[in-house]
Amino acid sequence: MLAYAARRTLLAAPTLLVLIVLCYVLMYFSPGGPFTAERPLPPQVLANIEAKYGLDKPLHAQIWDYVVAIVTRFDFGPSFVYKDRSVNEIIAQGFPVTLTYGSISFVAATLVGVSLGVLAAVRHNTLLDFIAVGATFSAQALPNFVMAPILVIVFTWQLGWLPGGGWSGGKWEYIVMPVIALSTSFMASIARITRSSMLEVLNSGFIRTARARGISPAAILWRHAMKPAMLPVVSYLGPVFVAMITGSVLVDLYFSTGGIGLSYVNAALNRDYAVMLGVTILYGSLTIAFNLLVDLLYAWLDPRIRY
Amino acid sequence: MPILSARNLSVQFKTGDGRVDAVKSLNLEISAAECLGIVGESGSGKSQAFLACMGLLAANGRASGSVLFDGREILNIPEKKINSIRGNEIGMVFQDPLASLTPHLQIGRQLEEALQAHTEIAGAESKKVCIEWLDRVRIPEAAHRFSHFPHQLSGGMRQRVMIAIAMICRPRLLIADEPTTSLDVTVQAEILDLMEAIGKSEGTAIALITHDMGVVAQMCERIVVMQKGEIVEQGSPESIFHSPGQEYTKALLDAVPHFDKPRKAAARRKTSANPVLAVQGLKVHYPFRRTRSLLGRASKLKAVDGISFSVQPGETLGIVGESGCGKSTLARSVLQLITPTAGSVSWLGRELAGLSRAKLKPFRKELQIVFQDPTASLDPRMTLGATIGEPLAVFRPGMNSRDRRRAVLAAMEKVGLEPGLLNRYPHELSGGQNQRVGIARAMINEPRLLVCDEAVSALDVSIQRQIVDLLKNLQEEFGLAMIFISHDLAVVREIAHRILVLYLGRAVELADSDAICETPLHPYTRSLIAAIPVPDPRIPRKRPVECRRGDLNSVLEPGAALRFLPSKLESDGASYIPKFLEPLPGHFVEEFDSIHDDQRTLATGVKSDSGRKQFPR
Repeated sequence: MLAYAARRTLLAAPTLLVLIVLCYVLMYFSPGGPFTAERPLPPQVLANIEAKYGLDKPLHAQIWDYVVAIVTRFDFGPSFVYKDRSVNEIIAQGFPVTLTYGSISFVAATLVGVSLGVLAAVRHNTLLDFIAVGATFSAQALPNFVMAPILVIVFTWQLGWLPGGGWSGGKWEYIVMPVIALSTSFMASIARITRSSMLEVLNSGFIRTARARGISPAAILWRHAMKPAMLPVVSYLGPVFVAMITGSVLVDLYFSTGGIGLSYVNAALNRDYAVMLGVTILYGSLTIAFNLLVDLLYAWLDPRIRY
Repeated sequence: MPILSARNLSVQFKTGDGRVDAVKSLNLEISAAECLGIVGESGSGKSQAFLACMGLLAANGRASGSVLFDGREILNIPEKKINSIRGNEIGMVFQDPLASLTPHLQIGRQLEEALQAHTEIAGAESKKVCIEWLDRVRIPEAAHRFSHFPHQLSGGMRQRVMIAIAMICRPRLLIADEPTTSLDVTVQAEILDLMEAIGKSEGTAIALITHDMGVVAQMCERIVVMQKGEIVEQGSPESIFHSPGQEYTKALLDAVPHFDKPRKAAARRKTSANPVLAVQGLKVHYPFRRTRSLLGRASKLKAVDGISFSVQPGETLGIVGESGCGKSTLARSVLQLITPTAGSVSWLGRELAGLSRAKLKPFRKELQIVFQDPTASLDPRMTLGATIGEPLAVFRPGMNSRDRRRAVLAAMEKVGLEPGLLNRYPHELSGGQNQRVGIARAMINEPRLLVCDEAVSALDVSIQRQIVDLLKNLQEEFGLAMIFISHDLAVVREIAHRILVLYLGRAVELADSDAICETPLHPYTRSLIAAIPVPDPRIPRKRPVECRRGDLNSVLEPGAALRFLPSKLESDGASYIPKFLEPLPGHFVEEFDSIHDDQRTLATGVKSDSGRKQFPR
C-alpha cells in the first residue's frame, strides 16, 4: 500500500510535466498572442515586450524556462496583464477563498448527501424514502447558476437576512449562500448514488448472513454495509471536489467572493496567458492528487483491492 | 417434542407479475439432534420456507401460519426478539460462501461478532474461542487465519468458516441451505463430513436443504421431498430411495448420476485414424507480481503446463479436475480465446496457434463453446431469437431474415425450446432453458467441435440430466466431436468416451472412460472417485482418500507439479518434469511414486482395487 502510494506519487510528476508542456503548446499555437489588441502595437514595441517576457525565444526554450522556474523556484512567472503582480500572487489571493468555501461545500454535500441516501435506503419504500428521492430529483435540477440567483432573491432581497455578496475575510454570513449554491446539486447526486448502492449492498448475501447471525440492525449498517456501499460514492467524490473548485467561477461572479474562478475567466478574457497556465496547472495537480486519494481510499474500503 | 415445528406455513411474494405462492401451508417438524434432508428442485420453496422461519425473507415476501421453535412462536416476531434466536439457537449456512461473508471484515472478526452478540464472552477469551472453532472446522493454522479476509481463502475454507460462524454459539438447530452446491466434489465430501461430525458432537439438529439426492442419501435420518411449495413425500432414506411413492421423487432420484451404474455415452462412430483436433504440449503461463514492493519481480503462474491430447471425430473427451486446475483455461486456449504461451493446436491438420483474428474467423464457425453460467453468458438485452441467430449473421451474411428466422426456429426445436419463446429475454427463462439457448447458439452453424465448459455445473441435477441427454442426442445426430469439461466425474462418465484428468495445470491421467472410472491408476483420480457421493443410503459414505489432503492445491506452491512424486522432488528438485507413461495400451498416466509397483501388479494380471490400495503420501 505504502509502496503503491509512493509509486503513484512518483508517477504524478511526469504526468504533471506532460500537462504543463501540453498546456503551454496549446497556448503557443492558439491564434493571437498575449499582447494582441484591437489597436495593434507598433512592431518594435511588441518585439520589446515579447523579449521582456522571453516570448521571442523558440518554443522549446520557452517551455524549458517555464518548467525550470516552476521546479526550482515554484515561480509561475509574472502576469501579462497586471504589470506589478505575479501569477503566484494572484493565485495566493484567490485560491484560499475558493478553497475555503469549496471545502465547506464539499464536506456539507458529502455529509448531507450520504446521510440522506443511507436514510432513504434503510427506510426503502416508505414515505421518508419517497420524500428523499423527490427532494434529490428536484435538487439535481438546480445547478449553482440557477441556485445562486434564487438564493439572492430569497435571502437578500425578500428576507434581508444575508448579504448578497462579498467576502469580508470569510465571515460566516458571507459563506452561507455560496456554499448552498455550490453544493445543492452535488449533494443530490451523492444522495442518489449512496441510496442505490446502499440498497444493493443491503440486499446482498453477506448482509443476509450477518442478519442470520443475530447481529443488530445498527451494527449491520455500520460494520457490514457502510464500507462496500461507499465504494461508488468515493469514486464520485474525487471529481466532485475538483468540480467544486473549478466550477466556482459562477459563485465568484454572483457573490463577488473574489475566488480563483473569477481570475481564471478574467485571465482568459484578458489574454493573460500566464495566469491561465498557472491556474490550469493548479487544477490539474488537484485532479491528480484527488484521483490518488480516491484510489487509496478504495483499497481501505475493500481489502480485495491491492495494488 | 420437536425442536422446530411449522404449521400451515405459507410464503407469498408480491412481484410485478402478481402474487407468487412460494410455500403453500407447509407442515414440518424437526426433532432435536435429527438430521433432516429437504430435497426439491430450484423454485420448490425449500429455501424460502426456512428463510421465513428465520425472518429473512426479501422485502416483498410475506409469511403466514405458525412456526414454533422449542415451543415458542418465532414467525413474524419483532427483529429484536428473533435476533436473540438467530445465530444463537438457530445457525444458518448459505450456498455461496464467497457472497455470504462480508468481504472487508477479517474472518475472525465475523466469528467474534456472533459470539459477542449472544454471549458474555469478550476480549482475549473470545479470540481464543474463535480460534478453537476455526480449528474444529479443520482450518489449518487457525490462529494465523484469524486475521485473513474471505477472499484469501479457498471456497471450501470459506464454507468451513461459515459453519464455524453458524455453530459458535452452539445452536440447537443448524439450517444448511445448499451448503455444498457450488463446491468441488472432493470439497463437498469434506464439508458434509464436517457438518455431520460437528452436528453429532454438539447434538445439533440439522436441516439440510439441497436439490441433490446424492448429498442427502447417507447423511440424513429423514427426508422431505418438496415440489412447488408443498411436501409431496417424506420418510426414511431407505423408503425414499428404494420405494419412492411419487413420480417426482423418482424423477429426482433418476437424475442423480450413478457412478457405479453409469448410463452409456452416445455410441461412438467408427472413427478414422485422423483426429479432428490434436493438441501438443499446450502451455498457458501468466506473469504475476508476487510481492508488493516498489519493483516486485514478476513470476509465472502456470495455469496450463504442457498438455497434449487429441479428439477423434464423433468422440467426446471429458476433462475433469477441481477448481483452479486449469480446465477452463485449457478449453479457451484450445479455441484461441486465450493466446497459448507455447504448444500447438491443430484442427484437421491445420495449425491454429498464432493465427490472427481474421484468419481464425473461418475456424470459429466449426469450433463452438457453451459456458458455465447460462444466464450470464447471454446478452440480457437480446431476445432469444436474436441471440441464437447472431452466428448466422456473422457466418452467413447473405441469408435473408425469413430464412434466418426459420433456421433459428429449427435450432430451437432441436434443443427443445418452445417456438413461443423466440422473443423472450434471458431473465424471463430458467437456467436450464437459458443453457439450451447457449447450446442452440453454438449449434446453429453445425460446428464440428463443441466445447462445453462446465455447461451443466450451475444447474439442478434434474436439469443437468436433461442437458446431458440433449448433448448426447445432438452428438448422435450430427456426429460432432465434443470436449466436455466438469469437476464432476460422475457426470462426465455419462457423456464422455475418453477422460482426461487434470491436476494443477498438468494432465495426470488419460484413458477410456470405463478404464478411468473402474481401474484408475493415478492417486489423484482415485481421490476424485472416492469423493463422489453414492446416492444409496445403504452404502456408507467413503472418506476422501487421504493421499491428496494437506491443502497443497495451488499452482503457486513450489514443487506443486511433483505432489505425487516426492522422491523426484528430493533427488532432482522442483524443476523435474514428470513423464507421461502408457502402462496399458491407450491408458496414459503421469509418473507417480508407486507407479512402478503398479505396473508389476498389472503385468501379473491382478486387477488393482482402487478402494483399498494404499499409496504412499
